[in-house]
Amino acid sequence: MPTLRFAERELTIEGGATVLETLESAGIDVPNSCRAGACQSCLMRAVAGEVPDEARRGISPAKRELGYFLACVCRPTQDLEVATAGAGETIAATIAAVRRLAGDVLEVRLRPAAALDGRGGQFITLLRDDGLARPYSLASVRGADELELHVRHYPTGAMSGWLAAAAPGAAVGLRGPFGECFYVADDLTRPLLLVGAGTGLAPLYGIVREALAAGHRGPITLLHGARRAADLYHREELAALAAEHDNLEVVASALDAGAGDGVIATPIDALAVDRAKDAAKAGVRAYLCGAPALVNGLRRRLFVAGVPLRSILADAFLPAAGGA
Amino acid sequence: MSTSIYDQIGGAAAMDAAVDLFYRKVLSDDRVSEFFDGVDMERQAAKQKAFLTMVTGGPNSYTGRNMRDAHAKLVARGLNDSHVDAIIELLGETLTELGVSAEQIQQVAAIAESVRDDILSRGAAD
Repeated sequence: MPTLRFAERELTIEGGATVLETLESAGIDVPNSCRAGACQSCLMRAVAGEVPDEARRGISPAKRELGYFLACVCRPTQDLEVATAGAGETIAATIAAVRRLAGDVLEVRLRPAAALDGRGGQFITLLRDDGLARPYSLASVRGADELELHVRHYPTGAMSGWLAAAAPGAAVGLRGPFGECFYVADDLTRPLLLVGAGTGLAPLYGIVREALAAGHRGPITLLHGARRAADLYHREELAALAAEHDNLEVVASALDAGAGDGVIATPIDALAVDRAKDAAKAGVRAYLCGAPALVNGLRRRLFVAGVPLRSILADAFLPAAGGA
Repeated sequence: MSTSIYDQIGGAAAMDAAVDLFYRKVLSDDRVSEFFDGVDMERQAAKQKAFLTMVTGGPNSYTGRNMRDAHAKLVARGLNDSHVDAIIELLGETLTELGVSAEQIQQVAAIAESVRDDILSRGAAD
C-alpha cells in the first residue's frame, strides 16, 4: 500500500483511503467541509509524487503547477509527500540596490542567499531583522539572480521608510514565494489583459516579461494607471518591450494626464472592461493588481462582462495596519 | 436507476462552467446582486458549486445547519422569499442553457425549495 509523508511522519494509505482520511486517522487535523471535492477547504500541496487527476479538478492552472490538490478526494495509488497549503521557511538575503523609479516608487533589488523559485507576479514576505514583515510582489522573472521589488514609499512607512535609506549589503529575510498571480504557458495564443495601478505594475512587469520569454503570441495589453502622471514608472522599459514585440500594447493612464506626454486620462478600469468584452470570446486571461477597491471591483465587472472567474487572477494590495 | 441531472450535464467537469453561468446571472440581476457586494468571489463560487452539485443530485454532504449559518447575516439585511424566488428562477435559466429539460428543472427547483426555510432561518434547525 502506498505511503503518505507529512511533516516528517510516514503513514500507510489503507485500502483506497483519501489523503484527508489518512491524516485524520493519524490524529492530524486538516480543515475540510464538503468532503466531496467542491469547497476547496482541504486544499493541500504535493511536495513529491503524483496526485490523481480527480483530486485536481476545479483547481486553477496556476495552483496545479504549484502542486495544489484537494485532500478529501485524493486517493493516491503511489507514494506521496504532502504539505499544508502555505508552509515555508525564511531565506537570508541582502539588499543589492535601492533607487527611486518615480515620485513615490522605489525599486529594491535583493540577492537571496539560497535559490527562491519565485515567478514574476508571485509575492514574498520581506522581513527586517527586528521581525517587521511586509509582502511585496516580484517584478523580476523566474530564475533571475536578483529579486526586484517595487515599493511605494509612504512618508511614515515603517518598512518603506527603512528601505528608502537602507545601505547596500543590509541583511533581510524572505519568505515565499506565495500567490498564483503569474504567467502560465498553457496557451500561447490567448489574449492577456494586464491591469495594474501604482506599484500594481510590479507583478505585471514580471508577468509580461515571463510571457514574452515563453514565446507568448496572443495579444498582450498592459494597462498601467496612477493618480499622477509623475508616479508612472518603467515607461521607457515598457516602451522598449512593446517596440520589440508586435503583440504587446502598453497604455499609461493618469488622472492628471496632459496632451502630448503619451499618457491618457481614461481610467484603467474603464479601459479594461471595454477590452474584456471582445477578449472574453477569445479566451482572455486577466491579471489585476493594485488597491483592493480597484482589483475587487474590476474582477466583478470583468466576470459579468463574460470572463470566466478562473481566468481572472487578482492580487489586491492590502495596506499594512501599522503603515508600510 | 436513472442518471442524475448532475451526470447528465457533465458531472464535476462541467460544474465550473455551470457556476460561471449561474453566478454571472446572479450578479447581473438587480433583485439579488446587492447581497453579493464585497464577498470573496472565489469562495462564493466554491459555495455555489457545492449548491449546484447538491441540487442536481451530485456528491455532497449538505447540511441545513451550514445553509442557515451562511445566510443568517443576509436575513438580517432583509433577505426574504422574493430573493429565494429570484435565485430559483436564475437557477432554472442556467439549467435551461445547459440543455436540461423543463421537467427535470422542476425536480431541481423542488430540491432548492426544500432548503428555503433553512436559508431564511425559519423552522427548527436540523
